[in-house]
Amino acid sequence: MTTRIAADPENVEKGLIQLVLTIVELLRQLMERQALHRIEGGSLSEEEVERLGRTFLALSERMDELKEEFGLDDKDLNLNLGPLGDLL
Amino acid sequence: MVTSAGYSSPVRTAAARDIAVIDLLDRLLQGGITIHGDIMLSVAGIDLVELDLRVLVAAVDKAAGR
Amino acid sequence: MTLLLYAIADAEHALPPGLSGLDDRPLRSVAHGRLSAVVGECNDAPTVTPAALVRFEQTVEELMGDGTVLPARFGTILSDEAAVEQLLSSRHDQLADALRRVTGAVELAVRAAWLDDVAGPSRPPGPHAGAEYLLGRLERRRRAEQLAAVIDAAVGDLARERACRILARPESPVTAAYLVSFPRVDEFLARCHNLEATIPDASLVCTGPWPPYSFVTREQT
Repeated sequence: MTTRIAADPENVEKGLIQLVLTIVELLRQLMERQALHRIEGGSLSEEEVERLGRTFLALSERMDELKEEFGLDDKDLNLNLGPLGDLL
Repeated sequence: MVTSAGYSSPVRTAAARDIAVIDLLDRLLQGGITIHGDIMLSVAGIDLVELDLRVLVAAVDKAAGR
Repeated sequence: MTLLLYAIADAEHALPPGLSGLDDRPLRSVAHGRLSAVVGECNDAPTVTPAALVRFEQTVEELMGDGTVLPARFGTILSDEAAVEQLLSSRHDQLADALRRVTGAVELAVRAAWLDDVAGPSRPPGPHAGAEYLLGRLERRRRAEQLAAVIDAAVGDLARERACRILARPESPVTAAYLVSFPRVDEFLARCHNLEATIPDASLVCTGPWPPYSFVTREQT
């Protein structure tokens, strides 16, 4: 089933927010996976891991707030259930 | 609910218990033949751009050098 | 009037008489080359409800009872028969290939759920909150990957192909699908049943046989 992201004259804001959040969430998940790979690879210092962790934590919390504020759930951002798990 | 097909053992096996909606969602909305990408961007009711997340993610993955 | 796609099968695939789909609409078959598509009329893309999903699934299973089919994703609609033929012709060889790959086999699914709460401990905003968050995510992923390996070691040799998703949802460490030939289905289910008793920290739910939803298009290893 295709996720439809619609920018209609009536709901331009919500459509745009959904689009932006979907892309941000996609990138957030990709970057977090990459960060975990780097940690596993041992190429990050403790200080870098802490800095990355704080950023991802804040991003994750802020995403939850934004989703709530605009009445979107994970399904609207169709990434938790998406095919990401197959590829990374 | 899930019946066996082309396959002669009992229709409901002990292991086929507890089929939740989630199992249906996992297959019927994640798998199967599709004709569209995963994300459709549309403006004013007109579909303009289709994105296939698998392709997108594979591309990003490649760019990330793995 | 648009058409809802249920499945793609061989051109010789016979439609079970009297079979209907969503909203009790009759089904028909559109053939092209070596393939046929089973479609039913619909007014619009169907709404995702548990009842509609179950009905769709039952319909595809009825179709599968007659021979191997490639199930369609729920909600795949085409504008008319010409569009169906276009789909069959433009992807003819790929679809015929996929059909060959799944012939004589069904999909069996194994879904794991953690028994303990791994939603993550509440994080005191200490000096290492960032590292704890990331290392927690890493640990969660590692546990899920280990569990996937355990499942695969127990049943993988019975399958032609596998498709495994790690942490598709926070509460589901492993969502795996296996393409299993008919004669091996019983053995697979029995092994799954035995496997659960050996895993201390997760429950396993094995479902199927399903139409091969997870094996119709994607490249699998």
